[in-house]
Amino acid sequence: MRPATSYHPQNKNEAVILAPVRRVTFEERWLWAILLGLMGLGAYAYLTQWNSGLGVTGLNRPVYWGIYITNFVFFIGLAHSGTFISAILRLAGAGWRKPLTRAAEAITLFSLPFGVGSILIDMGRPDRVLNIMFYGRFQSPLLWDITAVSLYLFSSIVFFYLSLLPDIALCRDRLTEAPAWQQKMYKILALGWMGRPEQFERLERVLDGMAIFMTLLVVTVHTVVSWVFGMTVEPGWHTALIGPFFLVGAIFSGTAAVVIVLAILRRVYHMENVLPVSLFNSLRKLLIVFTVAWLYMMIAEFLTASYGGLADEMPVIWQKFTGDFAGLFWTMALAVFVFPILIFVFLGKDHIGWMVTACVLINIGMWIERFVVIVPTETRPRLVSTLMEGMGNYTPSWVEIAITVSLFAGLTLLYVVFTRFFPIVPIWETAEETAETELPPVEPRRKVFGTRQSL
Amino acid sequence: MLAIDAKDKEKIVMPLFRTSRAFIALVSALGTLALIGVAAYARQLYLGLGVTNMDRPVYWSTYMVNFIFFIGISHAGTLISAILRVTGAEWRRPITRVAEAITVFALMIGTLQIIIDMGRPDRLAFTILNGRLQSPIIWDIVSVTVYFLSSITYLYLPLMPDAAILRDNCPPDAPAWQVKMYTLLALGWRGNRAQWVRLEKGIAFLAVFIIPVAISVHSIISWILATTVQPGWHSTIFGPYFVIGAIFSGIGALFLAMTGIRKALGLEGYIGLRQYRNLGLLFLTMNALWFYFTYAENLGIAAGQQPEEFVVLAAKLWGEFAPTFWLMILMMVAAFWILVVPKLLPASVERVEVFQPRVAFASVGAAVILFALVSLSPRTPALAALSTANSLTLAWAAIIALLIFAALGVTFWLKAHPVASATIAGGIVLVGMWLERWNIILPTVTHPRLIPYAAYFPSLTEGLVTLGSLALFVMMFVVFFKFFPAVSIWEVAEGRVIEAAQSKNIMPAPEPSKTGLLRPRKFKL
Repeated sequence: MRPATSYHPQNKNEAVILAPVRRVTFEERWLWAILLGLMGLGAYAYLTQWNSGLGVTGLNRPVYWGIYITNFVFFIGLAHSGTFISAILRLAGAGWRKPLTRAAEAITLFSLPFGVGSILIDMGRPDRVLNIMFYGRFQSPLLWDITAVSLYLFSSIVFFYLSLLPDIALCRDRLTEAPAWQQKMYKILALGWMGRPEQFERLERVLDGMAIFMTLLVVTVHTVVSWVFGMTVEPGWHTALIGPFFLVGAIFSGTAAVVIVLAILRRVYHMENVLPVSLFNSLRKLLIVFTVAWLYMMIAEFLTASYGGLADEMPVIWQKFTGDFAGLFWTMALAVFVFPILIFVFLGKDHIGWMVTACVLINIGMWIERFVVIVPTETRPRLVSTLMEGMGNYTPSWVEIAITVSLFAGLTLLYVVFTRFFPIVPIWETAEETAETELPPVEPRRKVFGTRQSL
Repeated sequence: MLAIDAKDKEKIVMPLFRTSRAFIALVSALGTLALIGVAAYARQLYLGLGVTNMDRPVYWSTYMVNFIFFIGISHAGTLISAILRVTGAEWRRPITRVAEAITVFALMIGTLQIIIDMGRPDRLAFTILNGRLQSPIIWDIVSVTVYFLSSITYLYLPLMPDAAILRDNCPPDAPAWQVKMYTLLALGWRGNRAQWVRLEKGIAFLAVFIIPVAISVHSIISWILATTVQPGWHSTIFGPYFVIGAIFSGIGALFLAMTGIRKALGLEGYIGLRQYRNLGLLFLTMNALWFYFTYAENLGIAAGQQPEEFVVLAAKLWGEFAPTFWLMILMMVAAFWILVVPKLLPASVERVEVFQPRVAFASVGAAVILFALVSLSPRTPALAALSTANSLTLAWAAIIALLIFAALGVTFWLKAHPVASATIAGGIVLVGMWLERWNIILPTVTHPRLIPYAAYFPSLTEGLVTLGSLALFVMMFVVFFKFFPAVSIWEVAEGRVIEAAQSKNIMPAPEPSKTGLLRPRKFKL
C-alpha cells in the first residue's frame, strides 16, 4: 500500500461517487449476462457471415454500404459527446461541465472501438484492411479516415486516462477492501500519483493543451468521415455541406447521448446531489441550439439541391421525400427536430424525464439520418441506367440486425463494467476545495489565450 | 433629471456639443467622394448600364460584390451585440452601440447597391407587385427589410435612455435644435420602474429575435446564388459559409470602428484591452471556421472533377482569378498570424534584434520584387533564360521564406501594440472578405454553365460608385457619432455597478437608485 501521504482534494460526495465501485449488485450481474448473451448472438451472426460471405447480408450491387456503415458513422458521431463536453467546453470555460466530463468521455472511448469495428465487419475480407497501410494513397479519403479515426481513438484514450489519474490514485488509497488484483490494477494505473501541487498543475496544463488539439480533432474526424462520401460524385453525397452537416449531427447526437447516460447514472447510482438538475438545464440550452442548427443545415442542403433540379440529383431526393425512404425520412424529421424542439422549449425545463425522451428520440432519429444519407444514394446512383431488374433496393438481413444489436450491447456492457471499477464522476474536478487553494495560481496556462475569467 | 458620472459627462456627453476642425475636414472629404460617386451614378442612370463593364453573361459584378460585402458587415452589429447580450457577456457594454450603428448604415449602403445595379431602378417595385413566392429574390427583399427594421429598432431602444440623459445634461450653450432632438428621441423617458421593465423586455426580445433574422438574411443572399445551377454557386454549403464570412467581416469592421472612435474621442478608459482580447478570440474562431468552410467548399469540387465545376475552380486556383484568390488566402493567413502568434510568444522571450518592422518591410519588398520577376519572366525575353523549373521553385521558396521572415519581424511589434494589431487584422480581413465575394461571383459569371468564357474588369464608373458608397458609409457613421454617444452611457454605468458588486462579492440592493439611472433588477452574479 502507498503511504497515506498522498493528497486528495476534499469532496463531500466522495462516498456517493465511490459507492458503485465498492459493491456490484445482483441485478447488475444479470444485466451483464444479458448483454453478454446479446454479444454472443452477434458473434454467431458474424461467424455466419464469415463462413458464407457477405451474401448473407442484404448488401448487393450497387448497395455496398448498408447499416454497418450507418453504425460506423453513428458510433463515431456518438463519440463526439465526450470531446465536445470536455474539450470544447473546457476551452470555453464553462464550469458546469465538470461533473459530467467523465461520463461523456467514457461514451467517446467506448463507442469509438465499435465504430472502427463496424468497418471491419463490413469488409468481406477484413484482412485486407491492412492494404490501406501497405498501398494507401494520399489522395484517398479512406486513408485520411483511417488516420483521423485512429489518431482520435489514441488521443481520447490519453485524454481520458490523464483526467482519470487522480481518481485512480484515490481508488488506490480508499478502496482497501477491494480484491487484491483490483488494488494492484489501481496501483499500476495510478503511476505513483501523489496529488502534489506541481502534479496537479502539470495535469491541468496538459489537459488544456490537449483540449485545443482535441477540438481540432473533433472537427477533422467527422469531416473526414463525411468526405468518404463527399469526395465521390454520387448524387446526394457529393455536396459541399456534408462536412459541417455531419459535424453538427455528430455533436448533436453525442450531447443527447450524454443526457441519457446522465439520467440513468443519476437514477441507478443515486447521484441526485452529484448530478443536479441544473446540469440538464444547461445541456437543454445547448441542445436547443443544436436542434435548430441541424434544421438549418437540413434546409440548406435540400433547398439548394432541389432548386437545382439536376437530373442526377432529383431521383435521390425523391427517394427520400416520397419514394422508398419517405417513411424513414419523415420519421427522422419528426424524431430529430419536431418533437425534440417542442419538448425542449415547452416541457424540458427542470424535467429530466422529458429530456430523456427527447434525447432518445434524437438518437434514434440521428441513426435514421445516417441511414437516409447513405442508402438512398446507392439505390439511385449517378449511372442509374446500369441498374438491372431487382437492383437498387436494400433490406437488412437478420445477420446485420443481430450484429448491430450486439454492437450496442457491447457499448453498454463496456460502459456498465467501467462504472463498477472507476468513479464515473470525476472526484478531483468536482471537489469543492480544489487543489488550487494549495497551489500557486496556475498562471502559465492562462497566459496563452488568457481570458478565461473575463469571458 | 437623470444624473450621470462627471467622467462620463466630460468624455462622452461634452464632445457631442463641440465641433472640431478635424471633423469638418473629414466630413467634407468624405462628402466630396460621395458626391463624385453620386455623379458617376447619375451618368450611369442617364446613359444606361453600358457605361459599366457589365455585359452578357456578366450581369453581376462589382455592385453585387459590394452588396454582399456590406450586408456581411452589417452582421457585426446586430449579431455580435445580440449574441453577447443573450449570453450575458459583460465586456460587450462599451462596444454595442458602435456595432449596432455599423449594422444600420451598412444595411442602407448594401441595399443601395442593388438599386445601383439595376438598369431600371423603378422596376424594383415589380418584386413586390409581381413577386413569386418561389423566388429567392423576394425572400431576400423580405428578409432584408425585416432585418433593417429590427436592427434600427434595436439601435434605437438602448439609445432612448441615453437620449434622455443627453436631454438632461446639455451644456447651457447647446444649440436648441439639438436639445429638441434629444427630447424628441427620449420619448418622455423618466427612468422609472415601469419604463425600465418595458425597455428591458423589448431589448431582450429583440436580441433573441434578431439572431435568426440575421442568419436568415445572409443565408438567403447566398441562396440567390446557390439555387441556380451555375458551377461554383450551386453548392449546399453556401448558407453557412456566407453567414460565417459575414460575421467574420463584421468583427473586422467592428475592430476598425472601435479603434477609430477610441482614438478620435479619446475613449481609452471605456473601450479597453479586454474588449480587444475577447473580440479577438471570437475573430480567431471565425477565422478558423472560415478556413474550414473554404476548404470544404473547394475540396469537394476538386475531388469531384466535374467538367463544368472544375473550370471555375481552375480559374481561381491558377487561372485569371488566381491573383485575387491567393491574395485573399494571404490576407486570411496574415490575419491568423496577427491574432495568434504574438499571443503565443512567452513573455520571457527576449527581443531579437533582427526582427524589426524595418527589416520586415525590407523583406516584404524583396518578396514583391521576386514575385514580379517570377510572373514577368516567361513573358520578358531578357528574363526568359532564368525561367527554368529549378529557378522558379527556388524563387517561390524564397518568396515564402521572406514572407515568413517578415511576419516574424513584425511579431514583437504586434505583441507590444495589441490594439493596433487587432485593427490591422480587422482591416486585412475586410479586404480579404471583399475579395472573397469577388472570387465567388466573378469566376462563375465569367465561366457559366452554357458559355465557355467571358472577361470582366470593373470600369471607372463602377470604381467611383464603389468608392463613393464606402465614403458615404463612413460619413454616415461619423456624423451619427457626432450627435449620439459612442458608448452606451447607461449600460456602461450599469456595468460598473455590477463589476463593483462582483469584486466585493456582495449583492447590490435590487432597489432603483435615486437618479433613476440603474435598472431595478436582481443582478445575476
